[in-house]
Amino acid sequence: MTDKEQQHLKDLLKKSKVTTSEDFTDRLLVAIRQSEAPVEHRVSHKWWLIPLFLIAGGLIHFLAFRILNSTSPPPDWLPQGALAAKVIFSLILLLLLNASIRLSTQDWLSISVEQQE
Amino acid sequence: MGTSSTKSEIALIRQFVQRKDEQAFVTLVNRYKDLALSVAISVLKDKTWAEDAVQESFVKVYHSLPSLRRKAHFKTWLYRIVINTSYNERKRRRITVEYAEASQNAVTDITQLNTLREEDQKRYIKLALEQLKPDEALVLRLFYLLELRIKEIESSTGFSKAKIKVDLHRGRQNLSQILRTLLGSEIEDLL
Repeated sequence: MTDKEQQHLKDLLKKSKVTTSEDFTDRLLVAIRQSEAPVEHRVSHKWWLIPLFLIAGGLIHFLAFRILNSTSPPPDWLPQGALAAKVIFSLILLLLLNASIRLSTQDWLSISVEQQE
Repeated sequence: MGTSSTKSEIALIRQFVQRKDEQAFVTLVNRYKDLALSVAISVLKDKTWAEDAVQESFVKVYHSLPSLRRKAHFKTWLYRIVINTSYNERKRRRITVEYAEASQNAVTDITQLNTLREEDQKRYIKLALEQLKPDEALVLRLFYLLELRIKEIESSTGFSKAKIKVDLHRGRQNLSQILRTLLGSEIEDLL
């Protein structure tokens, strides 16, 4: 492409500049305020579930193991059962963690707008 | 000391980061918002969606600017955020459109546009860019409208040098082909 053609294309594409709405900056400042205020509340509100779930799960696991182990003789499926319980428990924990992270980082406003749509 | 609007980018960033001066941030926004919107519209093809993406990008910039280490790279960093946000938005909205593909022997003569009024020229360019593939429209705008160098486009988009060159070449071809088609059918009514 020659310099003249390049310049011509440049002039043409300069005309493709799009201008934002008049109230863009005002709306942006409102969005910034909204993004600042509720974050801590949202995060803490969702995150307290995780340690609670951990403690409750651990306690149930421990008690079930103690009870089953104290029977005489202990059931022969106990080691496999304990392993399966650990796997299921870990999966549930991962799912919960993932959901919690996603919920805490999403903008509630945009979710409610989508729901309205 | 210059007013906010004439201050250098780095001075404005420092003012915002060190003193949390919102006016400095607003000046930066006003300086880049139209170009950022032009970039986002290349990917999203819709002004309302593009404005939303630009707004989301500036919110990210507001929160992350203090952690930007190389303040001199603000411009490419900003465009990278806008581009990533726009592509994510595009994925989220599952936008799929068939785009025009120029034939190999596309004519590059688009000087017919010069005979049109300014407003009509803008309308035709807008229409043509809407029909281009997002990557091509994006690279054309970054190169010609924002006057970024290839290296800067690399950092802003994450595209390889080869892809940028191919997109530039195909974008130019496709743009001229689309304009020719548009002008061929309507130019006579306008003259």
